[in-house]
Amino acid sequence: MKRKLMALLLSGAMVCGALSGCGQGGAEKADTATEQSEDAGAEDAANSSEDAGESTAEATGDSAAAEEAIQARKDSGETPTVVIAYMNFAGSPAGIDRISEKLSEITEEKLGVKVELQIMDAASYSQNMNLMLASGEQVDLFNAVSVGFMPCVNKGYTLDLEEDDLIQNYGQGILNAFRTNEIDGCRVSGTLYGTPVKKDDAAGKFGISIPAALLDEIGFDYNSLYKDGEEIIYSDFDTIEDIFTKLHEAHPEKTVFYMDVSSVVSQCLAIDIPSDNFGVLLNPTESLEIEDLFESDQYKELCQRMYDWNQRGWISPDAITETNATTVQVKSGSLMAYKTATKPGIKQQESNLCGEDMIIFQLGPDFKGSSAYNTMPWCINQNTDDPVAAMQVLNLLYTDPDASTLICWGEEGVEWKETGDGHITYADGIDANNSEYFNNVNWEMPNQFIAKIWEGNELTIWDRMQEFNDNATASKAMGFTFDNSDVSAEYTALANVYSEYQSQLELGFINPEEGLPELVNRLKEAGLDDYMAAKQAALDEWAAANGVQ
Amino acid sequence: MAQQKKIKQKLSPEKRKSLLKRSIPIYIMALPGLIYMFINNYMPMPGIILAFKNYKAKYGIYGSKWAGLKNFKYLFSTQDAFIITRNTICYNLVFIIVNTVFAILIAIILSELTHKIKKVYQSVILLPYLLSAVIVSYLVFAFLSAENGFINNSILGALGKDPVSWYQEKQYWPFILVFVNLWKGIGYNCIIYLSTIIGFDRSYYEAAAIDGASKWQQIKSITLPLLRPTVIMLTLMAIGRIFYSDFGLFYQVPQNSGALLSVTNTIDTYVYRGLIELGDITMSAAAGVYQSIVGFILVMAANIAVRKLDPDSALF
Repeated sequence: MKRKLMALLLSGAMVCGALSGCGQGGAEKADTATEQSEDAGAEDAANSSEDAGESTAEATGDSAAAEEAIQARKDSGETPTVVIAYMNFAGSPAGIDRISEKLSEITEEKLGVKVELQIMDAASYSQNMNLMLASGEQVDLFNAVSVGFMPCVNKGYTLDLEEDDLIQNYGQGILNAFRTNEIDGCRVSGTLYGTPVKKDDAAGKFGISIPAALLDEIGFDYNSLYKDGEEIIYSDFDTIEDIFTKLHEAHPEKTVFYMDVSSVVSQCLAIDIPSDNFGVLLNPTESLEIEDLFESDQYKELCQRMYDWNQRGWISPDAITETNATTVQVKSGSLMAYKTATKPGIKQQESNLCGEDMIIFQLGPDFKGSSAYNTMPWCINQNTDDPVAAMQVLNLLYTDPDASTLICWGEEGVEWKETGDGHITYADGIDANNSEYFNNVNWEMPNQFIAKIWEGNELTIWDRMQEFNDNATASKAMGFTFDNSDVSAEYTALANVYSEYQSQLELGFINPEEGLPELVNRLKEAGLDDYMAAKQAALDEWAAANGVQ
Repeated sequence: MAQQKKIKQKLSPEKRKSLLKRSIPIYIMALPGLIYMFINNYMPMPGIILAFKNYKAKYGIYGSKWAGLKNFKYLFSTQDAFIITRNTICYNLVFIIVNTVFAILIAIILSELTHKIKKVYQSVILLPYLLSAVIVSYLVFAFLSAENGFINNSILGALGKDPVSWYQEKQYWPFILVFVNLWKGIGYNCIIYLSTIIGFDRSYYEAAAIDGASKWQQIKSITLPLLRPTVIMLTLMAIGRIFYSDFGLFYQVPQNSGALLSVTNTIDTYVYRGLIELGDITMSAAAGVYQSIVGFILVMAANIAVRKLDPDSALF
């Protein structure tokens, strides 16, 4: 019923969108296209080579073409509005209009453009974005997280950023902020459809987060386990199981451990998962062979361990139907430990989210998978009226510290204040609960590296992040994305079979000795072999094109 | 139909004109509804071609390439196709039967009650219908939660029985879903029957009472036969929707628990699960087209069957 209604609404909206879209869009686009080709003169080439010498933070990419575009916009007396869409976990924050205005003040002065923020919660973001992009509603810049980069590209929602040298002319700051291979991670068949974000590209596998207060209570000495200056304790399963045993004895009424099922495989196993779990690289540093995750020893071991933990009573009998975020469960006092992917700054991030001091253990290695650069790229809608303005706004967000701070943390004096030692913290009388703009999704923002640093993190955090990214073990398939549009029927069937077993196996509710062979058979029936063959073929092709062996 | 035609032919042009004049206010009253229906049900219809397209936003709906029946393939490609079709149809059949029987029962009981209390009961019964499926799912969860649920703690515990992991044991769910659906929908379903019953001519009942008919005899021989056209009409409409399932009921109420999929997966939830990551609107459109076509065929077939059995009750 809901689906039908949505389908009807959607198609209705699209018919209207398609009709109204044809009328005006064409002419304007043609205009900007000619403008661009005129602008892209010789001057510009000289200018950009100068830019390249400058450091990242200063290089705003003000090529001659960019200056001209800004001047033309200001002369015309019209200020176009660029709509920026991204997701958070709590839905549109109360301060969204104020932050939009503040950001517009910066963009109006520097670019002659206004901006409007559209923030949606994680649960509805994908659906809303699909609707907005399909219906032709105005959204110029959007983050492809959750919607999926490949699906967006497949459906043609994303603009080719190198069309008429768009990014070269108006987005030099973006190009300067990354290495070439990072930018290349957002290419699909050679075409650049998005820009990566400055974030943790690697992830520490199988991190476990436990409140310090609980560890104190059971008398676990964590302080001596820290190696110099590190915020994460590198540990092993024996230690963790020992802690869990004691926690369970001390608080039998609380749940010991829970993990969000959707990210179990990706955050616990050091394997490369190109696009989805159906066909993975089990040994991604050595070979490019696509193998079946569900027949692997790694997966079996994980399920076996969870089954064991479940048998010991560490996992809640209601875990399968749990819908609250782990950090919310810790906050409410019903949960004592949960899984997280680690990175520099993780201790502060989790402590912020849980509202108390958290201790982070890590049981796996630091690992960088094929999708490191394109899980959440920023894209320009192909339907945008003014691609130049959109690109310039994006460029500004990558290069302007004030704009970046504003979109990451909100307004000075309202959401945050300076602490005096280079950090920022909550403004007076403000906390995580009553702040009007506290998204905590800076990993999704274009460039958090140039924003101000929240209290509790070291001022050198971004250097450490860079180091972390560089030192992590990287998959050989870095930058590969699987376009599954030709095998989407198989994918749908596989996804359905997997969802039948996923939470039961990965939270240890069924014995893997029985459940796993059943799952493997059902997946084979649903066409896993064909799907993996298609993925392998695509990977081989990609490897040949990129010179990877 | 045939009679009406004859009457129309007999009317003189003047009379026909005045009849039309008299109906104008009625047409005007119907106008908002008709406009709404046109906008909501007819204008999006060209969107059907999406199901046969390889949609690229760049080229728009009409400019995208044709894909033939490729978008339909996923619905039939596995053994799941049988399970989801079976679940969708069987649940809906059971719903139609159970809901109709109980709705009529409640409607008759309500119609026999005195006025003041009737209003209270009616509102109380209707209330669940107004709740969203998400809220209903948590009400159900309050009963069935393995750790804190009412049934495990207060009922099974008191009886000395072992708690049941409701969300992992699929054998209970066909009953739970039928019950929840009945509880949620009965208030709304019985309103139509109740209003029909109230509209019956009371003199039938008075005459029957004078002849010494008992309450049961009155119900059996007066109420039920008079209700028949309404029952047939509502059932026909329900049959038209037999290929659709209440997404909230089948997705939210079982809390999306994987263990229950073989008894809770219907066409709508299958499509949703498969496409939530793909976000492929052409495949969703294909599912919609498939459901509509089968629904249309079923309504036509059911109507033909009714026309054979009882020509007066057929819809058209």
